[in-house]
Amino acid sequence: MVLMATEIIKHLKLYWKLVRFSASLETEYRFSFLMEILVEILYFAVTLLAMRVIFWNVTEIAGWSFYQLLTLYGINMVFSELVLGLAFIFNLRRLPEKVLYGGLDVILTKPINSQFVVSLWRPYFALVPGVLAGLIATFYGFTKGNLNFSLLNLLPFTWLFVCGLIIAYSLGMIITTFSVWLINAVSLPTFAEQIIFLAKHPRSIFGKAWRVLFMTVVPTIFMVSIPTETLIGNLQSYWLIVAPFLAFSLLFLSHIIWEQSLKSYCSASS
Amino acid sequence: MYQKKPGLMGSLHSLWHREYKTVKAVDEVSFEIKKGEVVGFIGQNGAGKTTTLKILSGLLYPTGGKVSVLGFDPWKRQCQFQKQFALVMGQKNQLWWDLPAMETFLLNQAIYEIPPNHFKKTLKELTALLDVESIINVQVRKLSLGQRMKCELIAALLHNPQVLFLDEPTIGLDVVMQKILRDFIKVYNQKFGATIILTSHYMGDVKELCKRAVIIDRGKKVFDGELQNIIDQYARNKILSFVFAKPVDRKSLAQFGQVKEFDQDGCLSTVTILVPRKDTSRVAAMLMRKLPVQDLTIEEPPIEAIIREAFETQNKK
Repeated sequence: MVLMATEIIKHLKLYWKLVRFSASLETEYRFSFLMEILVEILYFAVTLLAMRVIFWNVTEIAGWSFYQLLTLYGINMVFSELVLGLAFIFNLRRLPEKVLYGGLDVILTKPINSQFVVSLWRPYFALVPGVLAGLIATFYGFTKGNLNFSLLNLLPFTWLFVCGLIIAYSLGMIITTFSVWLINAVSLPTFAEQIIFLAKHPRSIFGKAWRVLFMTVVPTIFMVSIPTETLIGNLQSYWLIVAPFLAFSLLFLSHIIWEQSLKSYCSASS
Repeated sequence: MYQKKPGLMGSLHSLWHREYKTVKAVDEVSFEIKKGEVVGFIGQNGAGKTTTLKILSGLLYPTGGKVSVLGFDPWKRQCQFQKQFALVMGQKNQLWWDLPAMETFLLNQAIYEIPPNHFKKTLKELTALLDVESIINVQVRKLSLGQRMKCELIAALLHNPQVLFLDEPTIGLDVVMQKILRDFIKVYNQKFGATIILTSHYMGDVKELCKRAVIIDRGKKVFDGELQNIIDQYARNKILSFVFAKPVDRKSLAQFGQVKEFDQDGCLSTVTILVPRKDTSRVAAMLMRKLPVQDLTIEEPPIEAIIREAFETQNKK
């Protein structure tokens, strides 16, 4: 237990160092960094506009009003930016390439958790405006939609939201890990992202069979829908137990699969 | 290993049916290395040198056999083991391309949990030995290949590894830089008592750094011993170089051995003859007696030629 805590502290310290390194790296190419931020803002604006256009014709979708959906969208935006920015853009998306060209060699010889390195090594700083935009959308949806905000809901929301992040990360890791076996599988991270971002739709828009599938076998729509429902006051308390169980089971599974895959890692010729 | 048939039809066919061939990259390669030894791994491309190093450093999972480095099973990749070795690959780098090398050094300090005082001391020593004090704060992408390789070595050695795996560390470098790195490796071995395994296509690296060499061919060990023994075992000839004070007839030299070079410049003749090792002194004495020899040198053939001979002998078996 003490050993595990020491390892976690070591990795957290290291992560902080990596965050600072990444910040230095991003600022090396200012124009590119500004463009990335601009793209994030444009993406947010276009999605918002598309949503507004739909609601000019309808008053609700599957029981969700515009402002409720805006809240969901805002939370989803924060969620996806965090998942993409922390785990995917500079990390899991590059894993197949590392497998193909033997880039894992340098990683696997270091006294550090290799899963941590391949999945969280370099954060993507342009995620910050996306997260801020998501928070603004959530706040705006709440205010304009006259939704009941209660601090009592914030704590279970945060708890479930973090569990959702762990589930998303674990699913992404599990799917992308298959690139170690498949060698040249550059499309796997995109596939993983598509699966994870089924989460952006409210669970009520899926039919019952799909809902069961996405809530159990591939627990994706849980990740944003349930925390959002919790935030707007529809907490189903059993999720507070089920969510962490699901999150840590998947995290553990991702670790097992990763370690197992490394037995098949064949590096690349020098 | 997947065997693809050539052409478009071959590619289409491979979509539903593939033929695989089992290739043993490394087979029955057994050896022990003592602490502080510098061992050269010699072999042609695809012989299994790098695969062996990757198994020893825990990158590849061996399908059979037993591997132990510093008492650890490398494959388990325990932190205690990983803190005691380093793998430097001439064709792969760990430095952050857009940041100065110093940033990577600091990151490695955190990864290897090197105490600050120890880090400062080692960094000072290594940068002085490689004469790179002035470039460690320059972005890596602005450094020359040689400077980058020096910084790669420093990044790999900051934690003072007891075992160092060097996979073609001088590849692509000019002769001056090769010499600098060789000297550095030699000093590092002497100063820190590190055990070093080196693979290189430049025989100069092996000749200058390693007393012992292991030759691998198609995944199998074909020689393991002192480098000098390879010369004794596989160098069948010695090279006799003469300068004659008077012109000599080329045909008359053929009876002494294989004439490799013959150069007639005015009244001076410069000749190189390959002579079987056992006959060297007898032939030299005979030539001295019969011909107007002005100068004579007896040399071993270049190590590259000896190794080539070793492989050819092995292939004939």
